[in-house]
Amino acid sequence: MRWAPLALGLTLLAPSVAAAQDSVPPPLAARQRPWLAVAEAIGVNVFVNRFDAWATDQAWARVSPSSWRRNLRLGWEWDENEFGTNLFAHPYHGGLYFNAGRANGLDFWESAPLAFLGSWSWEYLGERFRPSLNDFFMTSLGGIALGESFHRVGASIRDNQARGGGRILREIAALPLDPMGGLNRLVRGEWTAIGPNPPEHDPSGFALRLAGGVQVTQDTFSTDRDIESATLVADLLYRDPITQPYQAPFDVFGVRAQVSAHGALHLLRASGRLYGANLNGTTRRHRHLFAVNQRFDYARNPAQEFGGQSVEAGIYSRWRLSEHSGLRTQLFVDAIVLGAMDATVAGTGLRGYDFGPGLGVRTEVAFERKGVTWLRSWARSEVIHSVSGAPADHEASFGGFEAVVPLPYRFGVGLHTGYFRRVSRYPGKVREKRDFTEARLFISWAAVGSNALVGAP
Amino acid sequence: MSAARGVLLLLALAAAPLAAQRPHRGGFWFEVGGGPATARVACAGCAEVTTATGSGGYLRIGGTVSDGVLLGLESFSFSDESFGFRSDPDRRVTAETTSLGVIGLWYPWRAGFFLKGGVGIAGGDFTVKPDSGQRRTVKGTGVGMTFGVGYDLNLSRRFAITTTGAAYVAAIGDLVLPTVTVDDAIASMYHLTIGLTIR
Repeated sequence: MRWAPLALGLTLLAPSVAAAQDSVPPPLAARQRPWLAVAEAIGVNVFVNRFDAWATDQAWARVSPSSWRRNLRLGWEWDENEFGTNLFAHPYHGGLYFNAGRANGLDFWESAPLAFLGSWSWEYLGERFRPSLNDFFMTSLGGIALGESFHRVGASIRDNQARGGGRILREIAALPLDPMGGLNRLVRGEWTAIGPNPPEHDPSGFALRLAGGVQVTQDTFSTDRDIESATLVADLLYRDPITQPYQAPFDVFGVRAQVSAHGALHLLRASGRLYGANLNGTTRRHRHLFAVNQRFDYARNPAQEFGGQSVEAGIYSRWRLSEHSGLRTQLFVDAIVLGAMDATVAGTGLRGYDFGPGLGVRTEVAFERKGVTWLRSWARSEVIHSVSGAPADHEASFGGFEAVVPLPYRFGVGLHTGYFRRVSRYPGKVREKRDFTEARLFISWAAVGSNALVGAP
Repeated sequence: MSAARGVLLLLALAAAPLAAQRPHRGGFWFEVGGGPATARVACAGCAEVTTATGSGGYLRIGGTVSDGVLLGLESFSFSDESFGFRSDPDRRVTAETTSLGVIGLWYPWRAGFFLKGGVGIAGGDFTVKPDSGQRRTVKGTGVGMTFGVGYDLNLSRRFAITTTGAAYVAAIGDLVLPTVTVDDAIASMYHLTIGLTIR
């Protein structure tokens, strides 16, 4: 259900592709309101805290000057919350702080401190619990990644040139993605006002593909049997890193979300370009670009829990084989600022996974023809050094292969195979490993844009 | 010492008109500084924290992203030679933490005031000096974070005196000392500095 508003909103992008081609007056520079942005970020905390204290009578929300003094005196600790809360809910919450800035005219970098400010003030002042360091990282960094992605999607769903009921529907559809933007617009009367669209309004830049099918997974550790389930994958790509000159952070990003019948949100990966530079001329037969991306990872299936916030740097390349076909390759190294991974003896207290920084590398090769990616293969390896939980180094390897055959009416049929292997090394103990494989047969539909194979950035 | 103060004062006075022309840094910049610091180590299951005072230093280099935003690298070190974990108060420990991270500086106004934040890797060395026997050093490596505020006081077009108040957090995992294990240690350092910026 969490993704229903997203799907509705993204499908609303489709008709606005044509609308975007109409001549639109140049956007006015948004007025910057930094103090209002700060007040809104703090206001989110006050609202959530008072709601939990007064409406739901949560003991942890009954903060006082004495709890603030205690938290300031004792400082950071690691919490024991559930994986989904720490790795998904907190980043979404952080997006509210970040988008308080974006909704008030601040740019990406100017809004980023608000994610840290909002998270810090919540951790120290919004709960009776001691401030949680993992929450601070996940809320701040994840909030920036999700917040900017949602801000751009929301800005493209909304259309300041539209009128009538469709206009209101767009505003409502964008609300779950960018509540702060939506509420600011509502207060300022921008839900109905006609005017120029902001620079982030770029519906023609999006491609959205939905793929539904059946998934077979095998967890060789716990059950060693096949598990079949229905699954739905949404791939969203915003612009092409090869053809889009670098303008601003997240001017190119991609998201892959997967839900399945046995585990709700199965996968959420997002990657946005923070910086990019051409390594050769734009008219060259083969193209190479250097890029720095911010990544958000959340993976949860019957065999594994893996997530974190990371930054990667590497090279996108496009190799032309003929006029209509070519290969695309990616080679990136990454630093996981803070990651989380479960293992048999991982965790502490009620928590079943470890936190830690890490390093990794990933590569991808794709074959495309006439703008459609037919085949794609990828591999990724990460090492997380635990600093909370069991003393361990967790090595995780991901890989897979995906093929799609385009069909008429923007449909396609495809096959996906993937594997996950985790090896955990504990000092003085035997290493422990777990394998997980999956295969997916699906029918895809390009709701927005071409039937290109997108996602899994 | 008083002569040095006088030179600094004259430079600051002479630089006053420049402050209006050049509110903060542009292009490539380099900064080094140091000052007193307080360290606080918390751990899983610890009801209290261990605190100590020491000194720290930093080095920052970076570039300009936009008029108000800078990005760079920062290395920070803290040292205290009389550290004692509250859970093991009889032992004297030399504590050293270092961190290397990517930082962002944001100047919200045209003046020299800035906010600083960043993340990176951090390490901690704790050397125990028992009354008899060999010294023992335990090391932890993990994730680091910093945030703080500062002010650039322009001396000339190329030089500025920078004051900073910052917090550094080093989450370095378990520390297994001879008589005590500190689980999931998180060291927080609070640092007041004065530095020189070249831009």
